[in-house]
Amino acid sequence: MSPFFEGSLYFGLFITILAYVIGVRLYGKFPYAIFTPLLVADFIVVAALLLFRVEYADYHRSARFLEMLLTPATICLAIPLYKQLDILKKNFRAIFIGIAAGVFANSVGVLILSRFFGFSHELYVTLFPKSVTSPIGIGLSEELGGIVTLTVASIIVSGMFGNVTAEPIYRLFRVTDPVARGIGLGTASHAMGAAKAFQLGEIEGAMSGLAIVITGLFTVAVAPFFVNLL
Amino acid sequence: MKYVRQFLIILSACFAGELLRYILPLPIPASVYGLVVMFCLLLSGVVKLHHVSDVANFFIQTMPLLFIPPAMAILNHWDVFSAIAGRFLILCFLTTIVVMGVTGRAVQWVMKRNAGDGR
Repeated sequence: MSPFFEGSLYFGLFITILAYVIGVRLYGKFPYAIFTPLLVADFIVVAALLLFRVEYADYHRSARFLEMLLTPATICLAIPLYKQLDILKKNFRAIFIGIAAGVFANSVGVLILSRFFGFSHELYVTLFPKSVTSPIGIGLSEELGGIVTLTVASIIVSGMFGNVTAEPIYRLFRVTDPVARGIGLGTASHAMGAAKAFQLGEIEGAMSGLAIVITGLFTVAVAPFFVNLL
Repeated sequence: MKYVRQFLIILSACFAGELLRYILPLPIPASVYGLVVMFCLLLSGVVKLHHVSDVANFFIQTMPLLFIPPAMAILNHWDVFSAIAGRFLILCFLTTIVVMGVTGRAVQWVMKRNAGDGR
């Protein structure tokens, strides 16, 4: 079957969107974190690629059209942000201090655990941008000399994990304020956190969109200070 | 035509983002430059909300779908990944919990303190 998939322009797009629709429906019936549409869809696509023996490169040739839409989608986060401008102005200090604390926690956390696990410098800088949105994370990983695909994997794992476990985490840390919840989701889990934040509410969503951008910029800014610590 | 026009406005912000990235080669991706451009267009009133809101809602709602293709790249690096998979996952899980919790608490803490100052 391989020759067919090598030439197919729509298989990748088709299977990706089909898997996502199945994921959304399943989540509608069983609204548990483990059935998060993105997680289910990832499993379906991996299973389909393995089952039909489709090479990643062949899948990617088709599915990359979806990746092209990431930039306009990211840009559209400006709209909810603009709608919540008053909340942003009112809580300016809290938001900035919170994100700075989150970026610092991430940098220190990655450093400590990388040391603890005996990771090489290369792996450490690969994982350093794990909390930031993938376009910024990819750029930063290249800059620091990391393994870019693994950086992408760490970004996706962090995003998915945050998306799935946000509610228990917020119960554990007793974070109840919608602004704080949105900022936390965006800072820890970038756009996948934002997807969850939009499910929690409009304020949460807008704040997470803001947090994605600022977290990315802060992480780029602190990277030079952390890069040589391992 | 309405959707085409809205799409055009969003794409022009994408293009402006690419241009800015070319002119100011900081390690900031075009999408973030574009986001700032779009935000400024809205702030200045050049672009009104209803000029972009339908297509923007479409993009925001379909966003999770867009993360599926990049996730598949891991299949290409399975051997490197599987050697460190356990530690890799633990690191991502733990730091995500800490970052989300710490950020949320810090925002709440400053908000309460400000409220206490009578601001």
